[in-house]
Amino acid sequence: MQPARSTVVAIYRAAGDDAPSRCKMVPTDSQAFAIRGERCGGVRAWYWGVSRLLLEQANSSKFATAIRLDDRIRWIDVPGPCD
Amino acid sequence: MRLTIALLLVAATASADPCTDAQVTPRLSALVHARRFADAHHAATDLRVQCGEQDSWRLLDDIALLRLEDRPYALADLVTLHVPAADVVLAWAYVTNGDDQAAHAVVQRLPPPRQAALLALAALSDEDDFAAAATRLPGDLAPRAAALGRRYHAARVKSPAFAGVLSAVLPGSGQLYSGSLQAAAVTFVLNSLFIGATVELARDKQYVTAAAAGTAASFFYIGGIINAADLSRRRNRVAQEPVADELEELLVPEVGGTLTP
Repeated sequence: MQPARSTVVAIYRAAGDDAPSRCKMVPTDSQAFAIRGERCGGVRAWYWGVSRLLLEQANSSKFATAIRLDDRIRWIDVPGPCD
Repeated sequence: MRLTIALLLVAATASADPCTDAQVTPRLSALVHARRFADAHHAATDLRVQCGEQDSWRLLDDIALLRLEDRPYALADLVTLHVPAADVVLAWAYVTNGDDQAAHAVVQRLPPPRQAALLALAALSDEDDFAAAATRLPGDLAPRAAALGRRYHAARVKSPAFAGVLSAVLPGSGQLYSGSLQAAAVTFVLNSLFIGATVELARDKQYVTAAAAGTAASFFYIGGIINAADLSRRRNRVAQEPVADELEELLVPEVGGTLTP
């Protein structure tokens, strides 16, 4: 599922890329959603998106590796294969 | 006096020149070994820009990029790199990504002891297959790898399938089993709200709104099942990772930054 190519999307992306993200995850939820959307299709990206939000709630060193980025601790979750 | 100072400056500059400093490659290797992959990649990029291409820098950069999940560039570069360790790293990259056909093609080019090491690593997910593959390793590698393999499988503490089934029966219970009270609570509350709303709206014969709430409920329900299984998988991976690293260091020292095993 490709996001619509419009000025609004372009502005959102430009602003999002420049502003430091407050998301606890690396890549951010929207970046992960876009990656999964491209790789696995829209429906699966939504399911995994919900799973990602729950992971964000759960996150601790029991489930993921932390790194320091922009002076904050972030949890790494690189989107894997589609299954 | 001026001449002495100038000579000293030239000497200092020469010794600090990374392009000629023999310690640069071991330092880069040490960064990879310390798992400082982003630092290793930046250092390798600087060296390649300032000093030109060198096979060992390219290889270490590719290992760092593979660890940083930037696979396409690293794989394309490894294919063009004609040093023995590059094939080992390439085979490892395919093996760990589950790309069996490509891994098989590259492994065929390696000498038998390295083939055995990579095939053992490829069989790591299955306890019996790994035990069988470990017996084909040369010398004292076999018992050490077998012992690490047993530790690796003993570190698996949760069943992703069971977590998924639990969450399907009662949303949130799979998360609780996996060890996250917060995710369990959020899953339970969200599913209760959306499923409850769907039922209430259907009872009130507001079918369009009920369908919308039901669609949202399905995302939270299925997303919850996926999350429960994912949390269990992650829990296992975090527990198994130190042993997997030891095993990798034993079987494929090149990917830990050791270029001449």
